[in-house]
Amino acid sequence: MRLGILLSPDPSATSVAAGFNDQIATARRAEEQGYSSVWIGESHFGTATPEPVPLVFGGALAAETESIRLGVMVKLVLEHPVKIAEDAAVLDVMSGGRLLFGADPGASAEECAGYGVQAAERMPRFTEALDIIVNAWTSDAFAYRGEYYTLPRETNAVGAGYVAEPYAPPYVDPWQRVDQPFDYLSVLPKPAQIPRPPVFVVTDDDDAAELAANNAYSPILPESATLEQLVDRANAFWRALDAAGRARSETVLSVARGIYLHDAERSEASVDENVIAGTPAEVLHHIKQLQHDTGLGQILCRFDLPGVTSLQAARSLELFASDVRSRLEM
Amino acid sequence: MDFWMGLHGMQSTRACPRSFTWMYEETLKHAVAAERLGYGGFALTEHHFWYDGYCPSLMPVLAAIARRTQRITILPLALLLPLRDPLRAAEEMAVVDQLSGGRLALGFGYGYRSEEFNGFELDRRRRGPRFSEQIEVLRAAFAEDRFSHAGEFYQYPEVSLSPKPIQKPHPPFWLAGGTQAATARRAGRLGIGYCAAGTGQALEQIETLIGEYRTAAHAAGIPESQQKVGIAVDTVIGESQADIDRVIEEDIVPVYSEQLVAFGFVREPDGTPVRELPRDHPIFQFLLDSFVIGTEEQVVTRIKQFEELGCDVFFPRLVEANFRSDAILEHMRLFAERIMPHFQRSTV
Repeated sequence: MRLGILLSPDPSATSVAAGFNDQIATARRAEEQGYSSVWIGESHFGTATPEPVPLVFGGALAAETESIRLGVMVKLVLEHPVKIAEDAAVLDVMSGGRLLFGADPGASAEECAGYGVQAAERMPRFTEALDIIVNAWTSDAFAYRGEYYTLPRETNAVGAGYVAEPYAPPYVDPWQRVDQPFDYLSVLPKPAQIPRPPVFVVTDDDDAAELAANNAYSPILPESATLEQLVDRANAFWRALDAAGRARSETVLSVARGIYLHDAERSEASVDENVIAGTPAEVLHHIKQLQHDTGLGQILCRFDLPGVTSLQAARSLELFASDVRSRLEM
Repeated sequence: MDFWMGLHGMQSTRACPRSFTWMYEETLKHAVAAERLGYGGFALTEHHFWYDGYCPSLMPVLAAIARRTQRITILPLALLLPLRDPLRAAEEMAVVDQLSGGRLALGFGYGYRSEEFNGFELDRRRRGPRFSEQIEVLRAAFAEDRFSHAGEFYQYPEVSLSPKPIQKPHPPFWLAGGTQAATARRAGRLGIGYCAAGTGQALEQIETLIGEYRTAAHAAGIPESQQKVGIAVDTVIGESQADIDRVIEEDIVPVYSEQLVAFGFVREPDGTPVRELPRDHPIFQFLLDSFVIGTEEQVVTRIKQFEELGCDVFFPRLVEANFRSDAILEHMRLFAERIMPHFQRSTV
């Protein structure tokens, strides 16, 4: 089982900059302690812990770490997909191929309103956007005609949906294509990872599970899911993956979870019911059970939780390292 | 006058193909070196969908540079704002300003390649008015706790930009113009800095553009203290004429041959694009005449001319797409040690 750390700024941080520094420090610690990845998500407009542009923030993480993988969950419907493809490719290049690309179909009502996205079109728009991003990384040149996106604008490329540029003669080198009709798009640079960074899909409903399964993208079951929902979602995903004829080894099912460990008999903090909480033995048992029930291959752990003081979080992390980790990472 | 070093684009050209990961790492090293050598700023340049992988995403790179440096101003020159949603762009700017401890400056450009607009499903026409509206959105988003906007190009319900930048009211804005007087006038009207392109323009033309900028700024009631002028020029300093000739023949001619052809800047008299540029093509002399190029004394004399035009920032363009990393560092050092001491330094 792989273990990643979900970064969250301390809501009690004295300033935005201090909160950012705090997250970067946590990422460096996670690297030192040998976790395989750190993860950041996206949130807009007046939240206590703003992270509106995680691919930009990822640049800072890339500069401050050397080997840990950088998981970035991007809300695809809130930005142009070509821009997301470019930013993600640059981050992958800059980090020496350490990007894990999380595609998040979610967006709050306020975020949708802020960026002019109709709630009803969120999922179909997300589907097109992810398609475009993956094509942008893996095609030399392509055109795309969807319901929401036409790339490039006013393309004359012949065909439906995704059209790769034909390499039939007369072939002209890209650098000499002056005055050639610009019917195809070449998004550059390409990511460092070949053929592309691993794609994860935040899977909060059956539509997302099916989309992930059909493309063999790895699902991330979010922290908001209850235990029953986790098991249902996971089973829905594995069924859809089998139906799509994809091998289970092509994907890794990830569960994002708050984790709180305390010394025996002493729970000082009160945490959300979705948090995996207890003594080290209880937490280990809980995770093993979850692994059995869902087939999870990765847990994205959040130790900084509402209701848990930073002192308690530090102790929780210590207990996790000493009593739990070695029995999971095998 | 201050000296802001430019302009990395992280390109892997035909003449000099290289690993992108290596180039980005070298760029970070050059930023650290620029700070150590006493440059006041460090600038990156952007293009999209370009065959050599020209960096399309400057803000993640600036975020990285922010964490490796402590004092230097960092900026895009230019961020092609009309390609972006201004509220998204504002979020990026605020985050990088926070990550850098308030060291971000913003050089904007319109963008001119139709391909770049088409790639983002935008119409290239009316990018000027689009830009002015974007500046309005940025200013409101940065200044007001909650703001809304109903304009011709952009509409937002009441939202709150979060986080806000460290610098108040916001990181300084510049508009980088090519050769158009209208661009200089727009920068003046908007009350933001203006950066002229020195490469490919005679001193008289540059003087005219700066005059247009100042006249428009005065007319808009912008105080002189708020008027800022920059100039970015290809700069080569050599110990001897032989050194300079070698840089011209080995580094500058190959990259300009390739990029001028690719951009379609050179045409036959009948308008068809030139696909091969012979070394004796007059374009090369035209370009070299506009460069700041020569030995210490010659370079200082040229830059003094820009100082006399009232330039606040000189951007020595010490990087071209195919320059070797160690050669860039050597040029950075020579420029810092031989040229910069001749000038009264002032921060901008």
